[in-house]
Amino acid sequence: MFDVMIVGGGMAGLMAAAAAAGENRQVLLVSKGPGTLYLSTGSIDLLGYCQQQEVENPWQTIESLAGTNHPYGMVSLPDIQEAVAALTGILNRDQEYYLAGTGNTWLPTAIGSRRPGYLIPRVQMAGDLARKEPIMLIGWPWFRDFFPHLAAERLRTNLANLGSPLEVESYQLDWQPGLSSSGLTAYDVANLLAQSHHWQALVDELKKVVKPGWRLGLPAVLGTTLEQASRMHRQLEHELGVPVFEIPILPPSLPGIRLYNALHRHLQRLGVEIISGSYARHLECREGHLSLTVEAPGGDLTFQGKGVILATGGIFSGGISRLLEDYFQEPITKTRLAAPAVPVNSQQQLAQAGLKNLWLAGQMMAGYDPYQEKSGLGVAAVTGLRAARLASRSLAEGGVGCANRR
Amino acid sequence: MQTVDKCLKCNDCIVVCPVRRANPSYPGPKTAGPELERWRLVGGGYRQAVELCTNCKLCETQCPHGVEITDGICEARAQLSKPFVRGIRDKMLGQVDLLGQVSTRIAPVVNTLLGIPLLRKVMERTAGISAENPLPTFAQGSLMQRLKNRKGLQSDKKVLFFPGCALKYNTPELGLKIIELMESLGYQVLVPELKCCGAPLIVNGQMEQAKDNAVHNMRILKPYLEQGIPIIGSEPTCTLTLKKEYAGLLQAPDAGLLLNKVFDLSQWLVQNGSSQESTPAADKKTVAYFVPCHVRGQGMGLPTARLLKMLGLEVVVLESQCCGLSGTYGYKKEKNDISRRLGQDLANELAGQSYDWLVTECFSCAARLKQLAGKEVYHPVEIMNKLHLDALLTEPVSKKNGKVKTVQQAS
Repeated sequence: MFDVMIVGGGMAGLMAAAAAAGENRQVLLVSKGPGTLYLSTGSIDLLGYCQQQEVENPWQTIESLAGTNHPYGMVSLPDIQEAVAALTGILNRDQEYYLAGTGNTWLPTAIGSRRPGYLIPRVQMAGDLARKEPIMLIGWPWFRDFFPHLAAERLRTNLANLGSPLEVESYQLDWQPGLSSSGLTAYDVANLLAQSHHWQALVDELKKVVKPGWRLGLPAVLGTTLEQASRMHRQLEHELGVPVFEIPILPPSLPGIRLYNALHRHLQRLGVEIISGSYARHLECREGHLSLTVEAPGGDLTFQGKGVILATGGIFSGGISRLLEDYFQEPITKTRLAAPAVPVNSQQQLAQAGLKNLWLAGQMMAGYDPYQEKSGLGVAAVTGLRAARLASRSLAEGGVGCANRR
Repeated sequence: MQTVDKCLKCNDCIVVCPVRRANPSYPGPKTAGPELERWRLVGGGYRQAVELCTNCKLCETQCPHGVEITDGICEARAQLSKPFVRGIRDKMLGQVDLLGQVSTRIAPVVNTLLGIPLLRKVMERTAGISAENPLPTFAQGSLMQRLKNRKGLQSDKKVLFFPGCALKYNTPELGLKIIELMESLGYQVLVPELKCCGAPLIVNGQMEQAKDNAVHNMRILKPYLEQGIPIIGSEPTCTLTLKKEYAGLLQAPDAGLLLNKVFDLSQWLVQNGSSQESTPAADKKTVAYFVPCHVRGQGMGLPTARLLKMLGLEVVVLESQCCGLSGTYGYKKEKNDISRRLGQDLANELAGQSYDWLVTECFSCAARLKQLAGKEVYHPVEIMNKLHLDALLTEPVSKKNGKVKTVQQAS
């Protein structure tokens, strides 16, 4: 019997598991795989845009959302601060791999646009567009996932249009790892760079183009772990004598992989039971506790728990499925929905009648648009942690049993 | 391969592919699987690259859309045309069952011959069988022969044990220990004569014979399944094949009966043993547990890690994925490079770990771990015997079952 069973291996599920296990709860985490975190930029965005306006300081704007049906509107500011602190604590356990400014930091994207982020990998930080040093973007002619000339030209234009022009140049580096390299992804390049002769060859080529006073932007290929990326980044800055930053590119996105693996390792250390590679299919109340059915190769696995947190994502992640033309449903509890998002109450439980001791977190929740707002990982982390706190409190108050609310 | 069109080309799979990590010019699961499968389905042929796949299935555990990536790779592999000698070698490596049946009769001869380094070099030159990885040694007399005159426990509670070729021909003593353990839990253990599950045939391109084996095995298993008797296997590759491939890739008749009826041994022990955790021994031992890929492929979590924890042990789950031996893969000369590189990652991790015992349940992984660590590698059941703690999982047999008598092992 588990205290808390969590479905979903994205940011919301991982944070919920970390928080519940941190309170010494017996935790089960069921996930299909790393899902969208492997596609992520690695930055944790709290809130980048609000009503199509750029947000400079997310904390202030979040305060103005209080009382709305936005997920941030139903949590308190200390809840958000706690989640950010908890996440930072996990990620920076060994070293300061992540940094946060007072407000949002605006960073260049692989196509030369700007993106906001709050908690940023240190290896991306020198890309801060508020800084004045001119930027040199580097690529390799054979690498299909980053085009430095395109990125530089668009970045120059975008910044000029904003009235804060910056000198941006690009360079296709003469570095070849010596394989038939046209299909190499960032992940492959990272594996190759772990071999010292490839690394030295890259450093030597970079030394030829680096200019004093400039900063250097590379596609994100420095290592598959936070530790490795940080070490390679320091070494590059040391050898080149200029600030260096990574730009997240097409998947497999290393900054996202590093983030996922760091969180996953943390859960393993906490002793969370992890079922990965299978689908949670059904949840019901049976003999006074919740029974979760997981479809694995060859048959079903059934688990019993006192509380459940669903963090299965939005319609793209399978957290919500479309039934008919105009009907949607949450497929695990079979909750009918009028739109591809689940309405929840202020306690992160189903707004309509539903199982007691069931909480929701992350992108499946109604009331916000993570893509427009650039708030995805922030809302996920905050609501994930809060769901775990709510579940834990309910268990502490003896709130076992799972009969329907209302 | 009905799931081929669910592939979104997100590249999640590439990140867990051991072959891609060792050799970036391998196109990876996404391309070797769904992309080439689409091409193959419209008559576009296949590519030699699919031969590099180890069939570890890690890509399938990672895929967010449930694409059965390796199905297409296995189908394409069966159509590959190979150089003459390599074709014969692969045919032979697929016949694990036959090799075992012959070798257990003349084990001392076979073991001595295969232990001669010079002969291994000759085999590498002539037959393409790698001299780098240790070939398994065979036992004198197979598990099935040893069971013939064994008096097993008779009980109303029955399980069917699928030992697989490794326990049958290489480590029958371990097979007997597993049977004794299940009997100590009050179960009558049935071990009917079955063929190889078919996994080595699938990866060596002999799809038709793999299907024949599945049909044959299902014919024998059917009456047991209809009585509701569960099938327990200790070799992760065999259980994964029964759980997944019989109804899927191999399309064996009646394979639907296997649904919810096949269990990995640790999975079954955790479910059927006492749930109470043991008090840690005064000198708590640390075990390093290597997770076989085909345990991950079963999407059931890590029951062996859980079992070892229940025994009061400190468990370190090794992070390395795929030992690089991968059944018959590591015995192929042209795969030496990939196998070596994957082994190196694991060796590095092992060198940085401190542990008392090294544990894995897969026969092939165990051979590889032993080679890399230079230490003995234990099966979880051997650890239980070592600790004399199997009693922890056991209630006295007499309590569960009034009539305890020994009769001839059913077969």
